[in-house]
Amino acid sequence: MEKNVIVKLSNVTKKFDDTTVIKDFSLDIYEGEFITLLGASGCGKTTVLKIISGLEDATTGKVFIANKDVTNVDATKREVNTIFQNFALFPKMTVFENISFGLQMKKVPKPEIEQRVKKVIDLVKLKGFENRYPHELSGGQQQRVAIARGVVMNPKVLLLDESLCSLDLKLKKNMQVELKRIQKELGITFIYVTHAQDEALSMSDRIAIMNQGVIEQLGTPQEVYSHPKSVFVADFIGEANILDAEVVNIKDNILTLSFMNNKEISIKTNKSFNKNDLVKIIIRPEDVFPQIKEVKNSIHGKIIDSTYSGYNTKLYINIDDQYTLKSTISDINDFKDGQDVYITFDKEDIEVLKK
Amino acid sequence: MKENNKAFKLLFLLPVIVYTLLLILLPLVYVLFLSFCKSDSYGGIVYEFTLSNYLNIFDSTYLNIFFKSVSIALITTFICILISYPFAIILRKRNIHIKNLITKLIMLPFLTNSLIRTYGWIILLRKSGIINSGLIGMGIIKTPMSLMYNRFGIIVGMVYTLLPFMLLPICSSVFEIDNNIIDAAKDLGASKLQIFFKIILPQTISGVFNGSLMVFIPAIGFFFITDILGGGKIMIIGNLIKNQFLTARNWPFGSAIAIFLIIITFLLVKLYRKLGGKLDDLGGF
Repeated sequence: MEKNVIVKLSNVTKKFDDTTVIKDFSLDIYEGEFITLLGASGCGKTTVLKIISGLEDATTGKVFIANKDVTNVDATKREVNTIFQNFALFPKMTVFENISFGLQMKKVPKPEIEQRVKKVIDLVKLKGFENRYPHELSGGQQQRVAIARGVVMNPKVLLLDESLCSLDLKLKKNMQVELKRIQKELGITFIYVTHAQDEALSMSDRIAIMNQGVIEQLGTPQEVYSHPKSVFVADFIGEANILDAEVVNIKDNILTLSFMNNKEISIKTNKSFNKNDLVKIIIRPEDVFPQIKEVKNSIHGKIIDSTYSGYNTKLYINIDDQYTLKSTISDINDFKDGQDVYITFDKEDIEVLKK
Repeated sequence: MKENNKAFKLLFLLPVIVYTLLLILLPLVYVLFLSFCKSDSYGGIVYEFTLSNYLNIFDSTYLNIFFKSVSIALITTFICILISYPFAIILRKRNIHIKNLITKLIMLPFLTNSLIRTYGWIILLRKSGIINSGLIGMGIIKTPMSLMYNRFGIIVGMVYTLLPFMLLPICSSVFEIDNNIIDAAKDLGASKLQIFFKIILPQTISGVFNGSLMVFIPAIGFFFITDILGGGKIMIIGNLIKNQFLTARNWPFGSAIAIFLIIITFLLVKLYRKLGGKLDDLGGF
């Protein structure tokens, strides 16, 4: 099936005074998808959002929404709506007035406003709260009002700027599910901006990981987690053991690498490397298996610390007094601090990157 | 333990309680008491109950002074709003350092006594003053304008003295507006005018009313400004009260006017609260 591009950014650059916030940024966003711009604060993700909504102008480059060039179209006239970080509800208006504000601005007839507002209030489950003021609502309810206020406009694209950040953990989890449900029900494209990788992984169809104004990697959550294209991505998404290594032998597509004081490991890869290439290997903690008995081709280490987090435990394993490997296991029973262990890896999931 | 605590708290509150009782409440009760007394023709007080002091207020001469005071106070308030509101809106988008600097600069002259500063205006406004001689020197006017000893002078002095009381509450309410809220309104299709009338104004109206109260109430009573810049030709309630006590020596009548003024002030504060204003924002009422 051919996917329709709903938002197209082509070679967008944004400068504030002398600092370049976004560099030559191009991205196609498809109709109906949930895409997340993920990055640390200051990476330019919110600026990208503002350029799409029209609240900021691109210094150079073009913005297309539904195949129309909207680069010079004012924010008030773009068919996208934003849900702001701190919700930005109008404090002197009731829930109903907040949600109907945009429709009033568009001079939609009153009966239609009533009907549309009623529909989204049902959608976000806020029935009975129509006449409350924002300060009389909980954080989660305010969030719902903010969503309803955007959704009621029937935008082609809904932009969400760190919208779950200010909620507590439990509420955040609930709202993640809610957001996904609302997005599916409406079939609207969601562009979500966040610095929280767990939110990105659990909600998105695609993730664009941003660093210093450029996209480091664009892909499905599985792709960016399992096959990071750069050390930055590997480090940013989930946890990783990132180790220096050198290619010592290549045979067919089996790489033999030397790492951690000349220990050898063989990994299957379909990328091309040369002998003596210096590389980085990325090993997720869940692919590090410690065992108490020595097994063939294992690496010896010592547990120096562990942190328990309910569903699993993270072990810090010291190797040659020089390296520390992180390993997550589900059953702590066999292990204690100071114990000698023998490590093997799930080689299928080890990623090798050129330095 | 609990009893102890209470006594301890009371001990610390004692200076404030004594101060309030002795210097505010007691004089106030005395003024209230006086307002129901008669006066003799030599400035003495006859301790007999009467309502005539209050009835006298409604004499046309005094009512006239009331209306004049209210009109001067209203004009002062209005001009203060006209200056402060755009000022705050323009300053809103500047960074915090500029905001702090400007707020400090506004406060700076007020470290000097207001009486002295009012005298300073004479140097600017009188016929041979800096403004008149400057304009004549530049050939813009031929004969000096009367800038003081009239309503104009009084209003200039009042606006000057009371402006910070308008500026500060308006600035604080305008600066409080979150940029995201403005962006949200834009995002939902509101024009600049719509943003102003539907978002900014409703959020800042309590600041405007707060400032108006802080300007209007003193403006009714500021007798020294009318004395100095009005040359004693124009009377407001403040002058009237001062005259009854110091010149006409009719303390009971002066007290009645003072009580009347207090009642008006209370009604205004009540109205302010009804419109959603907070007492704390008035600072010290």
